[in-house]
Amino acid sequence: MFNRIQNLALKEFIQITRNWLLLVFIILGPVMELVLLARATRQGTTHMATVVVDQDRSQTSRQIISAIDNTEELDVVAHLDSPDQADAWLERSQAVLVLVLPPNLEADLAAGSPEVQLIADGTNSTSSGSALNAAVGAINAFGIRRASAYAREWPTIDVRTQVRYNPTQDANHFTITAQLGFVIYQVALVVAVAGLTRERELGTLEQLLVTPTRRLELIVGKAIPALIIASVDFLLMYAIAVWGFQVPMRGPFVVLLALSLFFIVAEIGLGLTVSAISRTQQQAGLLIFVLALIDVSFSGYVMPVERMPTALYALAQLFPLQHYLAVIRSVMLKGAGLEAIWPQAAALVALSVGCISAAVLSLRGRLD
Amino acid sequence: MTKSEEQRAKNGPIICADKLTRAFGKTVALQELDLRIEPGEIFGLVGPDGAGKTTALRLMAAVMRPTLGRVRVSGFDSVKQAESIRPHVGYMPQRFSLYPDLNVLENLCFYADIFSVNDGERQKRIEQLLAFANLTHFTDRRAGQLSGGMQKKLALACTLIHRPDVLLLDEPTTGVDPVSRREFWDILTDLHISGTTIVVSTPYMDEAERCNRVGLLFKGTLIECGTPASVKAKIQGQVIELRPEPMARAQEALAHQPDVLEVQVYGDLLHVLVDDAYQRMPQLKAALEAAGVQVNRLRVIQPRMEEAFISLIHRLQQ
Repeated sequence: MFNRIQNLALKEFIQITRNWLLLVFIILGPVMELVLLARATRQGTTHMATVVVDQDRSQTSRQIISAIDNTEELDVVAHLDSPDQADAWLERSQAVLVLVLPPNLEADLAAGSPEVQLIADGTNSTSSGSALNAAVGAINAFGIRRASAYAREWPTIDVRTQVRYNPTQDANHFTITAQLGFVIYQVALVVAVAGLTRERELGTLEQLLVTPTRRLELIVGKAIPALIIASVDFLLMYAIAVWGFQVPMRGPFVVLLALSLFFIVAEIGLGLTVSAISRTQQQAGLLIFVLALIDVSFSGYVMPVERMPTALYALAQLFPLQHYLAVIRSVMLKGAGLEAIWPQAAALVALSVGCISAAVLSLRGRLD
Repeated sequence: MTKSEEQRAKNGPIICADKLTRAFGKTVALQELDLRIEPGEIFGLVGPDGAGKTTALRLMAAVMRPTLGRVRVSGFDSVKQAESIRPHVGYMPQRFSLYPDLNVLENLCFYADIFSVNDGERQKRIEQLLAFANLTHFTDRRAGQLSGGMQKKLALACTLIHRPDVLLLDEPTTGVDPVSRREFWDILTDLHISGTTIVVSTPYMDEAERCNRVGLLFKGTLIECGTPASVKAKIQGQVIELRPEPMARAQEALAHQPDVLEVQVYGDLLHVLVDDAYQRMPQLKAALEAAGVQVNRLRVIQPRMEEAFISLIHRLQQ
């Protein structure tokens, strides 16, 4: 009995070593995942974009701003004139935190207790929590330093905090909206990948090649059922998110729906491209998994995309998931309309056309 | 007049291969094939495994591009005018290539729609083809659950749905039971009578006999091309058949005999190629009996394609 077991195990090893893609996947996959995840969780809460509305413009206010900028967690990226401008930054997800320093801050400090306002983007509760903590800590530390410098009682700076879009800091909002993206993404990919490789494995592709069918016709013909299935799934997931989990829907549904369709088409295009270049379904599955790994890393779910080095940042723009997650969050949680998210919308439209074209071009019209 | 009758009237070959070559990396599957196939004929591509038959058919079907040379089908170049070839050609690959999870009717309808067979003709043709292939009572059986013979017949029906002028069939009867094989060839004969050009590759020599002309492929090269009779005539000599016992001793004994050109084994029969059968027969019988071999059923037979082919190959290898 043991001989046979040994024999079978040995045969399995031989087969695994003949499958180079599987080997790459087994070795590279976990390494990549671990490294990316480890880096990302740390990266997610450092150098968060902060904008400042300095209505005092005194030495004190500049010192407070310095203190905030000096923290590892926060980076001051802009100085704005009014809180209204700051709203736009938050809505476009260009800042995680807004610091509002009122006029007469320095004067108030001498007299009584001054008030400073912090507004955080609550869509990602981890980030916002971290940002607020860092900011409050920095302000308090500043106060203590000043007190010790002047060797007298220093009035505590009253910090009023406001968490936008997610007042209860419900972590669910962020994760569920991201999950919405992931689920659709998976469905689109899986359906698309199975499509062409199955035909190649069965040999039916050879028969199709002798018919007047054009490559574009074949790709679109495969994309349509995948599109319908993924769309139905999207509506189902959306219903569950909004009514089951009470995720808010503050923006226009039409925009969300339209952009979801473009996203689905882009992912289907990606899946069909992989399918067109793979010889077997197993190969296609593995390639898609590797692609998905990279895609999720670049998606902004674990690590904000803006934090990446320029080269990687440019590459990340090619992956649709990133744009789509931004769209979902902006539309559902921030109530953003097309005006606020048009860069992501344009990217999704361009990517959907691009990915389908890639699929058509990578499908070879001959058995070469 | 059908399209192929027109072609015949124009007196040009319907398939023209000129120095058609195809290599896969370093392996040359097909070497400078020069071939002319006349409209309305049944042409058999014969050869052992790896001879290049499938490659030749795929090149003609414009499903593969040649490395060198070219082939024209119905006047269209297979590389530059591939799309124009499609309506004229029906191609049946060696492997079953229909959708196993769709039923017989769904598969037929799918190909009818792909070839834009219009609604008026469609119903009639589908019924005709189902009858042709004896599948009228199996319309809702999944293609994957059909027997081997029925699968081949369905595949043939699907290639005929658009009434092509040329049929390219890659080993259509391999793995099929003898009864289905004969039914299949009955269908091919009917098609031949109606003027369709058929190019069929086969490892079965008896099928080669049924063709108007045969082309013998060996290791990518066309070593012989002509009517079955002319190919068989290429054998110099005659064949003596006998059933010896024991076989091994008989083979050994014959190997030492002069004037024996070749010995081929067929199960328990030996086919001995000699220059003059009637002269050699008593000579061989004596030699075998001297070696202690019992000789049964000694007779002269007509050489068949099998003998011709093996003989030609042996000659090449020497």
